[in-house]
Amino acid sequence: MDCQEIQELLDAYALGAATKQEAEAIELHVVDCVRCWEQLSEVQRVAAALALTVDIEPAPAPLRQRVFATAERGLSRGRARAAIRRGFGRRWPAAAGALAAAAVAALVFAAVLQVEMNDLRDENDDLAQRAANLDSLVAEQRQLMAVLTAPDSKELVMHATSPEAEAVGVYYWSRQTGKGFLVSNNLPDLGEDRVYQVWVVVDETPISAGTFESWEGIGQKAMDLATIEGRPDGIGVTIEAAGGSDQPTDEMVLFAPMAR
Amino acid sequence: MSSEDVSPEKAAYSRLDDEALLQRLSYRDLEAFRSLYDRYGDLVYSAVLRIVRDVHIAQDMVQEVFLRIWRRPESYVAQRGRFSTWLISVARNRAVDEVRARSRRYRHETASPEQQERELPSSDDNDPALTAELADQRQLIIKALVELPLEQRRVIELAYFGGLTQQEIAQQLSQPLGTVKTRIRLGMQKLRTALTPKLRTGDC
Repeated sequence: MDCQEIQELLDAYALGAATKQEAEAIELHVVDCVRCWEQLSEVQRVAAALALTVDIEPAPAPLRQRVFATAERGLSRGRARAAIRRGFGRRWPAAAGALAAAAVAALVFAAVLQVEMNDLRDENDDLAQRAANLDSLVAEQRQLMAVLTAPDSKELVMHATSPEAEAVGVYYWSRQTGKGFLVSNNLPDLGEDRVYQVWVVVDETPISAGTFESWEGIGQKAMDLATIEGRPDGIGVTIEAAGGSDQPTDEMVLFAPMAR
Repeated sequence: MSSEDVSPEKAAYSRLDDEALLQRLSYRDLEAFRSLYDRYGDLVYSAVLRIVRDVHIAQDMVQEVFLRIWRRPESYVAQRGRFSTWLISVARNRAVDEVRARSRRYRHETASPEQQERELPSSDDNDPALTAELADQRQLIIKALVELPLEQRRVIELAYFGGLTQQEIAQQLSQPLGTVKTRIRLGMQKLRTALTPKLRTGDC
């Protein structure tokens, strides 16, 4: 679709009245069309202003207490996880800029982890365990940084194999460091019984590169390339039972072919 | 002298703009979260209630939307426009999804209440629950909406509050799709004209 066709759809889109196909066309188009992007922002503001035309009534007081109490409870749990989300939690608008964005995110993230870890060490009890978890996260994050900043660092965008899935992954690797790193966004959380498993395909044979979980849509997996012999044709992710499988038991949910 | 329970700290937060509060959320600053809720909670609740028409569902949804911001403040990307616009859109979309899921479950309840003409609040109402800027916008949009031809206003409200696509609106109103599209475009054009200069100069 050209700009004129897109602009004719923007009003309906901002009102949430475009079809799925129209919405997808618009979202794709505005990624690299500044003019349409600006127009879209403007109609979105107008659409949001419609919400102001309702009778404004006070939200119930118990709701306010409930919201704050829940937020407070979550404060002590998942601090480390929160740090991951701050690092990688945004949807990547265009995969092209992902490398630079991820590099910055990784640097920020490592610093945040360090601070959180110091905080935790000052506390006590079961915090030792959490500090240990954070230690391994920091190590993972260092590995990601090493990969991202290596002079031969490469990236490969992995797409969801089913068209309606929103998941996306980026695989970074550097032969020089012998390390790889996969980060994923929007893979659904699987619960305790299942995990995501990474497969590197060499000569049409999938070789496991370990398992990872996706937490609130964010997953990451550090990989040691030394364990993989031969030249990979592709990299993919499947869903497997907890503990992982020897061979993929289902279709890949994310996949990217690797150029020879 | 009734100082209520407004601590100096609280007062300081209420002077921060949305962006500054959001930045603090990434440091898990609960007071910043409270300030954001107090700033927009009533508006989000009222808008969602208008769409889902059930106080319990509306409350669950407000909780979900705000906790999502608390847990993932980075899901708001500043380059994509202001926070209030984003927040309202997120809440509206979530509410519409809920209504759609419900109407799939209970096929018979789909007649949209937007069919009837809605009594708009008076644009002179000075609503203390809104920030000054939103209160200004509210007056403008209500005035603009009142001035729209009824058929344009109806399609816009069916889309925004009723969660219907243009095709569904055409079916409900037994109008050609082209007519619905034209009405939406003309109506939105007028609302845009009424709001845009103010939106631009409203930036402080």
